[in-house]
Amino acid sequence: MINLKTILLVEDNPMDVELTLEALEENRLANRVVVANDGVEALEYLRCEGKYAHRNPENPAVVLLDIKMPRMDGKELLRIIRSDVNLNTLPVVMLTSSREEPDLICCYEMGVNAYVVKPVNFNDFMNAVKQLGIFWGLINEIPVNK
Amino acid sequence: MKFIQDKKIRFEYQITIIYLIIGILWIVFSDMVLESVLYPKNISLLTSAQSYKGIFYIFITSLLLFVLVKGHLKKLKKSETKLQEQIKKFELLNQEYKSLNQELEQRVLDRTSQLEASNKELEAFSYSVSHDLRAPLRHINGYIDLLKRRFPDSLPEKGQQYLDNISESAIQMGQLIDELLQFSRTSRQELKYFKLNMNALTEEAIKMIQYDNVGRKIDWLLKPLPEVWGDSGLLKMVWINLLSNAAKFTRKKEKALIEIECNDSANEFIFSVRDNGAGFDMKYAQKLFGVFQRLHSVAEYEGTGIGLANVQRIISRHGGRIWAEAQVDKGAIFYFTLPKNKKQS
Repeated sequence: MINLKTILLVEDNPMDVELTLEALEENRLANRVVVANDGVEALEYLRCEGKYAHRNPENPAVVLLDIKMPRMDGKELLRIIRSDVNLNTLPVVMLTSSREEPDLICCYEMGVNAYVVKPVNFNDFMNAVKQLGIFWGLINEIPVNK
Repeated sequence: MKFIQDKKIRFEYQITIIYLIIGILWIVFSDMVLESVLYPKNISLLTSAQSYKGIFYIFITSLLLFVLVKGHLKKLKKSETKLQEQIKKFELLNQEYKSLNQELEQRVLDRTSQLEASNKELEAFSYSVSHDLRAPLRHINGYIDLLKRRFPDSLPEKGQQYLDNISESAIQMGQLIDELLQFSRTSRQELKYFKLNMNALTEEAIKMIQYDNVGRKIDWLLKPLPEVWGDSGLLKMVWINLLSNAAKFTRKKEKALIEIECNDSANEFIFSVRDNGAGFDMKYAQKLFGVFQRLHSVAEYEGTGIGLANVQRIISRHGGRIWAEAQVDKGAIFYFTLPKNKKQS
């Protein structure tokens, strides 16, 4: 496993962050996760600005994106990512609490790559996150030159 | 003649007739009188009397004409003012009608916008419920799970059991929230009308239920059903709910029999689902379709009690009715109707 790409987790709730990291840890994917607490911070990371000005400028393998967040929410961030020439091929997966039809339609229209509802049952949640981590972090291929 | 048939002889005829009668009488009588007095003794006086008589006659008739015309004009004026009054009244009424109409239109607009606002509020509410209420439940479950994984030995068996109970309750609450949201969605979601083959829809539902009840022997008796107008997703939900209820409540019977058929009246189809299961006491029939209402204990028959509430909502949104008949331990029959013609919404 030479592919050292990161996973960007955009999530405002610290408990959700911890539980998601726990689930990824099962597959030793947790150490590759960067956490941003809202859309603004995530955008700073993606554009290598602010406290991320000196990071390795490679794009992450996937952005796991919550919808409801303070300042800039997930849908807004998705819209910006899709309209930014440097970011528009970035895989984005919505990882959210609920299956609201209008959200689903809106996100797919804006070009989201997947939409996952966090199950209430923790075992199901672990499974979903694990599969996401493996698929987007290891199996899926993305363009390199972007 | 037509004018005679009229109750009041028209004015022009009146004047002419009066003029004619008086004229003829005047000529005849005056000539008779003059001739008897003056003829043949004084011919020249007779001639001049004749011409004075003519002048006098013209004077009298013009006076008569003046009186008659004046009288008639007065009458005309009276009826005209009456007419004008009526027109004024009519215009007033018309104005009132118009303003009432406007008021009504305004009210309809107001109500519509109120409804739209409350619908939006409801949507915002259910949106926030589905997002914000599920998150803490997920956290409760997650941390209980972590606790059990990380510290399996530091909790006595009783403690583990408590944790399991907490976790089970959280999961159940999650299910309740999901079902409530589903319920509110079925009430708001727009109906998409298509001509539906009810037999196909029912068979799909039966297949699903059979899949969930592997190993059980259920005799399905599906009679020919008509085509109806309706929303396919929602009507399938109706069948799944009614049929899975029938399957659930016949679980303790050795031979489960579920019969599906349809009768019709002049303008509606009446579908029915009959089972030979646990049934219920008709005393509680009115509770059947309430949200989270149950007539059996959870331990006996699982479920949250929202299924029939959903079914009722869907049927009433299609313009139909639903009711049930049952006897304890002898089974139940659920009926629902759908209009034969597409409901205009």
